[in-house]
Amino acid sequence: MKNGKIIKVSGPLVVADNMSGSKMYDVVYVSDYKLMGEIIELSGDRASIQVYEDTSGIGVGEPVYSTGAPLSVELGPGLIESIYDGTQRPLDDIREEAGDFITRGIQVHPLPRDKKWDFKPVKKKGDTVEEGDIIGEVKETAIVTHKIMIPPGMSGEIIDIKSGKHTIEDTICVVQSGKEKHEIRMYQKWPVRIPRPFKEKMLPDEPLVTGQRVIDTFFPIGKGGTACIPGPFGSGKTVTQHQLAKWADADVVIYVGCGERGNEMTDVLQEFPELKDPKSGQPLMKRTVLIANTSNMPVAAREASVYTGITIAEYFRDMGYSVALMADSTSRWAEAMREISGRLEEMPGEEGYPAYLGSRVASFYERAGRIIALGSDNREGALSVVGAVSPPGGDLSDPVVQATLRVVKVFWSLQADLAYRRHFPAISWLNSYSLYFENIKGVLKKKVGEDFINLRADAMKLLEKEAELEEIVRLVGADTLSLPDQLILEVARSIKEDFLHQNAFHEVDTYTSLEKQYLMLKNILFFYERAKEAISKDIHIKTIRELPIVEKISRMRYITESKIGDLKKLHDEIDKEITHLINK
Amino acid sequence: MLKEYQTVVNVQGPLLLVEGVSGVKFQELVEIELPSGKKDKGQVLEVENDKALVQVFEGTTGIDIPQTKIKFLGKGIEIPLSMDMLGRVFNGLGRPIDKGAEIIADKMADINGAPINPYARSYPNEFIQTGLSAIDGLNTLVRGQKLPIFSGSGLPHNRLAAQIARQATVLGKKEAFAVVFGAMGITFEEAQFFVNDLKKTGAIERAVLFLNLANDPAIERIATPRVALTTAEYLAFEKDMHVLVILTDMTNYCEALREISAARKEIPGRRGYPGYLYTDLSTIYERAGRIKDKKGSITMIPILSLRMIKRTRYLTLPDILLKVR
Ligand SMILES: Nc1ncnc2c1ncn2[C@@H]1O[C@H](COP(=O)(O)OP(=O)(O)OP(=O)(O)O)[C@@H](O)[C@H]1O
Ligand SMILES: [Mg+2]
Repeated sequence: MKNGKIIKVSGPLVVADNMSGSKMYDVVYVSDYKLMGEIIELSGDRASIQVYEDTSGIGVGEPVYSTGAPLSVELGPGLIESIYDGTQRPLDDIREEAGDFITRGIQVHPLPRDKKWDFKPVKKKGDTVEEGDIIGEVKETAIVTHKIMIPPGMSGEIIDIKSGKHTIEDTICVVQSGKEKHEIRMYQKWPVRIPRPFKEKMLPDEPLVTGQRVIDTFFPIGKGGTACIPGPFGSGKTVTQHQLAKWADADVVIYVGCGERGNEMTDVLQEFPELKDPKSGQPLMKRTVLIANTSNMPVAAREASVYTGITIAEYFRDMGYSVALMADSTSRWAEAMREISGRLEEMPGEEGYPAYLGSRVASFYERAGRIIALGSDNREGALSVVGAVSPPGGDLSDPVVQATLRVVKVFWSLQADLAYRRHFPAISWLNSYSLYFENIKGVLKKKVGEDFINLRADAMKLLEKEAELEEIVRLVGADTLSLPDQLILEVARSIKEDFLHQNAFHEVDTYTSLEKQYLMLKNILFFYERAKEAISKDIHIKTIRELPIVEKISRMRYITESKIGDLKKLHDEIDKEITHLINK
Repeated sequence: MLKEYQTVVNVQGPLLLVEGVSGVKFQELVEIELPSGKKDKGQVLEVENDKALVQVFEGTTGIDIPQTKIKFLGKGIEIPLSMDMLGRVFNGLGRPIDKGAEIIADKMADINGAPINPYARSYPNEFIQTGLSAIDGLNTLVRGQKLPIFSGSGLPHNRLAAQIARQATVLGKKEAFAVVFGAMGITFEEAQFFVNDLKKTGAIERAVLFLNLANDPAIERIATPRVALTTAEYLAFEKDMHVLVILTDMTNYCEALREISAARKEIPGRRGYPGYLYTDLSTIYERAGRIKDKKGSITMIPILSLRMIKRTRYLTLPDILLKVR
């Protein structure tokens, strides 16, 4: 392979000349340390390279080795339960090779080469196949059945297919098209910056149930949808992302720790093998892929990490799965872009971010969606993407927040004052929105209850009314409020404290099924209806507040999913206690 | 073979541009010999063709374009490490200033270190009793974590940090424990406060001090926390000690970074600080932690003065104490 020569080193950016023949986004190896890098600008025979490893000690005149191939990921059995860095190097193998600290120039295969997988064909010799067709399956983990697909751009007749135990490098199938014979292995490579193809994109029509009440009931995200969580320092972005990664009803979860803390990844690594997926009862790790490019790891690899993550996510989507990707934090990704752009001396846009920030953010979220995958069976897959954004000082006019809000359809607004009052998740019920609600309303009605939509609307009205009333209280004091208004304050408090507030670290409270959410909300609003009636019969609000049911409503969150019937009993108790009060 | 150049073509703030060089490496350590014979240290910030941009730790006063000699030392900034560092005082670049002997290296290490593999981390879960109810009550200081303390006028941040250091040593009596203290641009009195406190409890023998005081070269502050943490990593992960690292005042560190960024004419981010401030800081903060199968740990207490965090005014002192991460 031809060698270039370094003429400049500036942090993660290396410029080399004598690079003619190279293409944009080609991977190169820099110096004899063989540091991995990627060409991000070409002019004449001069290439600007972002280097994924520390460039200390590299100098002018050292060689650059081209590979002629773009930055790609390996896709095949062995992905699930892995923990990768931003360029898909398995961190466990790196540790084995290099010890506890990441040193330079380590090259390890993303997927295990020696492991044998039991391949079960679903096609046979003589079948004709097209791109995307599933030819067989591998039980990768107790949760995920890995579908082996004909790679995009290939079709023909199967002239050989082998069942049984194979490594990913063995040929398990041969497809003939015309005179050409394609050998198919259990893994394929895909360039991370190019979205994987599909047949058709559709609007999300089903909620991605997360078990988080404020999200599922008020601001749901659709399967295949996009959402963002902007919030100031310490407001709960990471905890919310972890909650989604744990409890979202996706088949496969990709968690990208992008420029955040190392201990937060350790947290996931420690917890996920212990926690059980509510659907399958299996450890959550068995459906999870982790990408960890923490803040102290090289910044260029951080830029790549979100693409590595989303390409892996698309691959599982193509199998017909519902996949959810969380990226914490996209601000760090944008900062990586800004740093590289600055070194390239590009014209800066707002706050020094490159002018293409908006288009990069948009095309990243565009890779989400509910789709019909390639393949003759027209299977449906979905990729939902949730990005945390960390604007300095929590300022929503931040360019990354603005670029994100232009493309995502759900906005979970984390508020410093809620976090400060320890109201978690600190998602504002007044500022947040979901544009999927109309689309998934039908499914919610069918799945949860005909009146769920109305309950939600009523609860929201009470919360809005409360905000107005609070304003009056601030101006003239609480005494002036009418009894019905005082009741509204009381019920709004209950919605906030007994429903919206949810403790991620409580064994039961951490996850609430849709059915339980519905029953909880129904009880609160039923209490409101009955209490309103009581008040109209001149019963004082203090008397109502002292009823045992008020305490019971506040403890609804701790009722386990298996005892959900207790919530229905509580409904009857509410009825009984208030009727008793009225008739007294 | 080390080449010497006398080809400084430009001096700008703390930066020197040297021409006609060859074989110079990014981040290489540089020795600068002034016309007066005084020797300064610097570091390569960028190399392009035959030019090298050098950041000078001791500032550029006295540097004279035609006469200054520049030597590239062929390695990054390294410090000698040894158990004999305990009880000693060094300057911000790791040179002894207590009139004691030079350190005989058990090993040499680059002050930039390498990132801890996230897979190698073990989750901090061992409590440090601090004796401060704000910390020990609901929340706790845990070995391997970072506990930022934000100082403001009248806030007892130094007392807090000193008390944590003191208490933690008491609890760790049976275990190997050390305090690494990195001072950046603080006053002599402030530094003395810590030293006296450590002396009072006898902890000074278990402490390593790196002092860059207010009248010391500002750019040197870029290196100080890294020198301190390289020492801490050695004590924690090679000598099995529980190390508490106190870094004060990180705001002065940020200002040194800003000064270099301004001299390089980089586009400033918020408040004039460079856009990569966050990333740069995390190469410091993320060096705290525990590692699987290792006995030692690094717990970090960075102290920041409030003038930097006005925007996050909702974070009052007690609240930041609750945010143990
Ligand atoms: N749902 C929740 N339940 C209970 N506690 C929570 C919840 N969300 C956040 N917290 C508390 O808030 C703290 C900070 O949350 P988190 O780390 O997620 O913030 P962040 O927004 O990611 O902060 P940063 O910007 O520093 O990354 C947590 O350590 C936890 O104590
Ligand atoms: Mg976070």
